[in-house]
Amino acid sequence: MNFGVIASNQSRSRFWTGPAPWLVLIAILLFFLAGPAQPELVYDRMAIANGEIWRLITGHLVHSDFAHLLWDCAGLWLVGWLFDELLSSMSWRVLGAGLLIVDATLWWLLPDIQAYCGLSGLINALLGAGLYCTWRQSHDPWVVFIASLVTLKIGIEWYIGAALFTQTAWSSLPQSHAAGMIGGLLVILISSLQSSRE
Amino acid sequence: MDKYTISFPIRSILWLLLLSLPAIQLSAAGLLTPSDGSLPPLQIRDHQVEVVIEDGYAVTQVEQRFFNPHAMDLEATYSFPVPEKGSVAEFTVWIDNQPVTGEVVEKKEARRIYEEEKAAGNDAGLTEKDDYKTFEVSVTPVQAGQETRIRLVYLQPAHIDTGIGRYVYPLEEGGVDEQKLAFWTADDKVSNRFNFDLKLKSGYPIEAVRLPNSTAARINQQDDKHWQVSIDAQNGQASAVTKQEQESNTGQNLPSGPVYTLDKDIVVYWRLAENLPGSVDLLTYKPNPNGRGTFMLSLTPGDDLQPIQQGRDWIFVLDISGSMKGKYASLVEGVSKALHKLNSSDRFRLMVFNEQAREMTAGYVNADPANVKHYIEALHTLTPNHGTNLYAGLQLGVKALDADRTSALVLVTDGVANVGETQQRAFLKLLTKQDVRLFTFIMGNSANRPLLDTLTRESGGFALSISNSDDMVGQILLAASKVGHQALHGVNLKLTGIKTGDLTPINPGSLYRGQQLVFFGHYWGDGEVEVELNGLLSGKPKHYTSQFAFPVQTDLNPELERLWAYATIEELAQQMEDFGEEADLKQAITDIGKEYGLVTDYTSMLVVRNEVFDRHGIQRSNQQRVATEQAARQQRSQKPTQTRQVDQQRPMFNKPRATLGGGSKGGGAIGPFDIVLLVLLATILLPLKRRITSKAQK
Repeated sequence: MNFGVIASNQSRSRFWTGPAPWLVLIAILLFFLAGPAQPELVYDRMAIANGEIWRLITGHLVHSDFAHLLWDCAGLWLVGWLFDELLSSMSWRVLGAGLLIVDATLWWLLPDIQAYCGLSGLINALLGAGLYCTWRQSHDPWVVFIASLVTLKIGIEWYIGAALFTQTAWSSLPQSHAAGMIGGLLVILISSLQSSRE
Repeated sequence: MDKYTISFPIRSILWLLLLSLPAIQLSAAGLLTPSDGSLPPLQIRDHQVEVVIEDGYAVTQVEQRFFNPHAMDLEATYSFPVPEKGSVAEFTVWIDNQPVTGEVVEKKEARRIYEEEKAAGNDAGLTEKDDYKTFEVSVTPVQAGQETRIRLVYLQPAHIDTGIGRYVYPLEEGGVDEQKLAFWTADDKVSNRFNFDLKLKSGYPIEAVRLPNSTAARINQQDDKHWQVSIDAQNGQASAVTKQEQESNTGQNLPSGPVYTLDKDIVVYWRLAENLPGSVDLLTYKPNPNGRGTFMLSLTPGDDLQPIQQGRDWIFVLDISGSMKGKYASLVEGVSKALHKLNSSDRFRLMVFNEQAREMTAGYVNADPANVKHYIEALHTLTPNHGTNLYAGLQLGVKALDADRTSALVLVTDGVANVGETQQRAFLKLLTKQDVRLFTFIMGNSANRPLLDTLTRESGGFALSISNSDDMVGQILLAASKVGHQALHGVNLKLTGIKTGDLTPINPGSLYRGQQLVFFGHYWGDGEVEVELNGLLSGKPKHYTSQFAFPVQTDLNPELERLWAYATIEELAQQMEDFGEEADLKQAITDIGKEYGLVTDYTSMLVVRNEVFDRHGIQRSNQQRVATEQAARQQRSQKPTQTRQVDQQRPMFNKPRATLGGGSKGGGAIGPFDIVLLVLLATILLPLKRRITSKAQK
């Protein structure tokens, strides 16, 4: 399996051609140009049912307040910086899968959630996929330890129904973290299986 | 009889009805010109709307300028749909550049004076109500090459349903009055400026505001209780946005002239915060401490009506009259999808009606795939035409009920009863023969809302008005939430402690999940009042009580007097439908209309020069009332929004208010803990990354 490992002198340019910095830039622009939780862009269940399907994408790019924007952008930047190099061209697919699984979870498993916004589902998709790639490449037990910590954190958040130490205008939805991570892992596992067959 | 969920079938039907709408040629609000071309058309130069929604009611002010580009003086006749529960309270025409406010006069007398002034070439204006369909505004003369400016103000309650408020600025006419359509052509184009400005001030926090079908709208949140919506289209940049939007909506290229077309309702929704308590809100107007006060009591119950899980029997009664042309194919598609959603153990019957009614099914049939396919094919063979014999449709539906099973009658109509039996009392008699709940979906602005509202209320069901600009799915969710829960039937309100009277509605009917109960009435004196709400829940008595004070003096909401008057007129009109047009009821409506300055079926708003008012002995009471209301509005605009909840000390309801499916919102947010974790991750992973990278390079 090739996760697009590249030479280190190319890593900086790889990061900039990856999705993370651009998503961060879009999120910042949307926040400052359109305002927090822009009503026409957030995931709004009723509006989506009424045909406004762009919200399935734009909902992930808008944020409910500055703290929400700050933490999500910082998180995505870090995750992108850590894993874009490893994931290479897989990053887009990982994000796409994360987006699909988060939206599907909101739609079918969380019908009570009327509105949603934020990048964290996608961050967790990249995180899940990145950790798996790293483990596949290194088989380092530290990766398993960190993955366990991340899983434990998501589990605790799910249990208590809120993100740990996170205060944003729209309270955090831990299920989106789990869904994003599952989406990221699915893409990597499927690619991994395809590579093994080849 | 119990009720049960109808979400899937009805959702499908109405969803597809909605999809069909762009193809329908609908008439709209606009300036009327004879279709035979005997008179040249005038132009609507400006159309500016200001709406303030506050304290549970909306005040809509529409200001227009009509322009006469021709060489002869002309009369302008502007027609617009009657807003739901909307009462015209002010009509002002600028005469010699000075605003002259109208006075309410008996309808025939007003028309006579208007015609007299028109014949004499004098300035005059008249606003009349055409039953439940339209308000018609006439102004004469619009001088050659000149503009005429008018202002119209109407009031209407703005209730919350299941945590969601809804305001409709009605512009679409339903196209149900064929004679009118044949005689007039409506020019709905605004040539210079269209402006819609809505200020929303709520006593409870608002989470979101939304305008479906209007992407050019700007929504601004000032704080969690103040929102503003605006649409501005004028010659210049903004008009291009609106033009583009309208082109995308209609699929047609608009001529470069108009900046806006008055052919689509503007619908505004606002969603209140989650977990608000059930509440009692009291608003009063009592300028004189020793005089009579007017109150509006809004009860928003907690969410304590239990969901219902039952088997299903469905009787769909579908309107296939001429006004459904263009919608019919989609209606069939909707029914098809609805039937496919039923469980195979469910049963259904299909009734259709135009001038006559007939059943498509042969008795109840199981909703298995073969039956569904068969009856959908049969529906495809029909062509909508002729008039609307609503009675025949309902009669057939009622006959079809199986006394041993619970059933629901679902009526979908956009029209009026104009063939066969049309008397309300006959409809009521029909429905009271059987224990059946009627759920009505009233499409468009011109359906016979008074009749359909009365029928559904008397049957213990509910009616939902649906604009073509509505979020159809949202309306379906509201309906499904109501049908899927128990309802409190036989609701009545008791007030003790101080002298109260003239309470309306006298018979509020049933209370469904998420609905508010709003009562208007009068009171004398002041002090503590014991309020008791009673009803039957699954046949067992249910009581809610609270106690709070009615104030001695308040002067900020003079509009309450007109809202009470309008609600009372509505109730009198219902009695007339039930018992016939009795002279005393007609006189009562006329008297209330004149006293409170309201345009009704028997009163119109007349504007003439001041000396003409004097000559005819018409007192300027409405002018005074309008001045009082304007002053109060000015005062309110400078005050912070207040909560009107009065039952904090002794809450009437224990649970939070009902919302749609919880309706909560979530943020995809990480936090500082995650960042620390990621930094930790970075310190561990970076050496690993380097190792992996160098291994790959080797």
